Amino acid sequence: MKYSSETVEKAIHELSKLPGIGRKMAQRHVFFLLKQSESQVKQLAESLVDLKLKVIHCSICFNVTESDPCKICAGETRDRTMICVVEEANDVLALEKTGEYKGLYHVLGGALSPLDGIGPDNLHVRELLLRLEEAVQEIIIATNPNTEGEATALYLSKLIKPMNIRISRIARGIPVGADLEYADEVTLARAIEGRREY
Amino acid sequence: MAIQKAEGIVLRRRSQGETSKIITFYTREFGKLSLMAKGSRGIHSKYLGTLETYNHLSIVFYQKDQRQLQYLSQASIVRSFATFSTQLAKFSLASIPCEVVEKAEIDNHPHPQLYHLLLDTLTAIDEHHSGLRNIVRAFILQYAVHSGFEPELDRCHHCSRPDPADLNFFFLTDGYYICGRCTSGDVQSRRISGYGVQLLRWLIKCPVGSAVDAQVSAAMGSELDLLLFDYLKTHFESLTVIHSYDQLLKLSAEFAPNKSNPQ
Repeated sequence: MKYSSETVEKAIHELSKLPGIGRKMAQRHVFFLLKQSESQVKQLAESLVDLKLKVIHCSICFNVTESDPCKICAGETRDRTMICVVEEANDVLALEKTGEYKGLYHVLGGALSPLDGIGPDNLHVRELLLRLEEAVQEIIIATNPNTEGEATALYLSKLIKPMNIRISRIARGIPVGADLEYADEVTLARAIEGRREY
Repeated sequence: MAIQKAEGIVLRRRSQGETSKIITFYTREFGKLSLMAKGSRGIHSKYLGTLETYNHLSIVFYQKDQRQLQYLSQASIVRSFATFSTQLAKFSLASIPCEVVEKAEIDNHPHPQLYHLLLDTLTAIDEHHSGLRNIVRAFILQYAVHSGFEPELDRCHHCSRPDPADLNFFFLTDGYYICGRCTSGDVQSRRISGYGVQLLRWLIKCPVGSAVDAQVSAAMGSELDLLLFDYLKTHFESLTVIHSYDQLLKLSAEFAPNKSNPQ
């Protein structure tokens, strides 16, 4: 059913373009917004416009930022000898939450996926290699531990190895709080393979 | 609601919302099949590590007729092709048969011989260390046979002689070759040596795992690849672009043995 108001119809149409939101849910969101005060809706609209106007990609690490270079790349307390390579900007946020890592990052913008036509040319690999000419001593490859992420890690290590830089890969295995009996054989094998002295 | 069981290979995974994934399998029982794996993106998901691309799985799902996308209920690994994540060449090569099947096959159209061809191809890539490209060449030829586009390779289409000439011409649209004694070719035909024709004859019939034994020089390999991929592109509308083949060529060029600096 279409609404008599073109504005309502347009808002539903635009919201339903968002991932995971169908027409029904878009309708609910639109009617929720109609019930909000003008200032609240304005705030939401402005924040969405700002998202496109102010947020850019850092020219060094390709993380999302409002200033170039980003706060991490410009930070004086960060360890500049280490670069952690991740697939997406979301991964930087996840790693930063741990508070364990104090080095720099490099966002590849995805992982190798021949089936989707994503090859090295579609990722920020060349930019990473250029960064390695500086004082970098270690690269931590933190791509996802799935087939595509592993292949990307392999590809990067092949490129970086001749540069005599230490390459490490984040540990893979059983997640904290999981039950061993539910773990699949591949995960268990990786966990045993990557065991540490206790 | 019926509970269905199948054996299949993971061709593709797509994220769906915050927590789920849609997995496309090629199964023995149902052909190409996409299923929703609810909660599979979560760190504690029971599917963690199972629904990896190329994995050979045993699956259970609920078939509900009024639902367009069925829900995966159980998945366990029959075989995980571990070398695909540790060897870049194998990863790239394995993606070619998967992309061909994913793009060219239609949903819910079982073809057990094709399923076994795909499984045998992935197994052969996993188990062998050299001659891997021949496995993919054999797959392409045998895939064409299973799909009703078998090329005529046993004789010259014009003079019917079984022995190919030193130089022959393969006609992509018609799927046959005419020997150099009968024609000097045209713009639509592809040049192929006598040895090339003999190789194609063998690759189309051999078990895919045995294809590694064929002696193929780099030049001959390029000639065969060009012909085979163009043959696929000519006969399958959905295969006009094969991304994984393009990526394989790029990676091969990047890590060519005579390239001293990988940068």
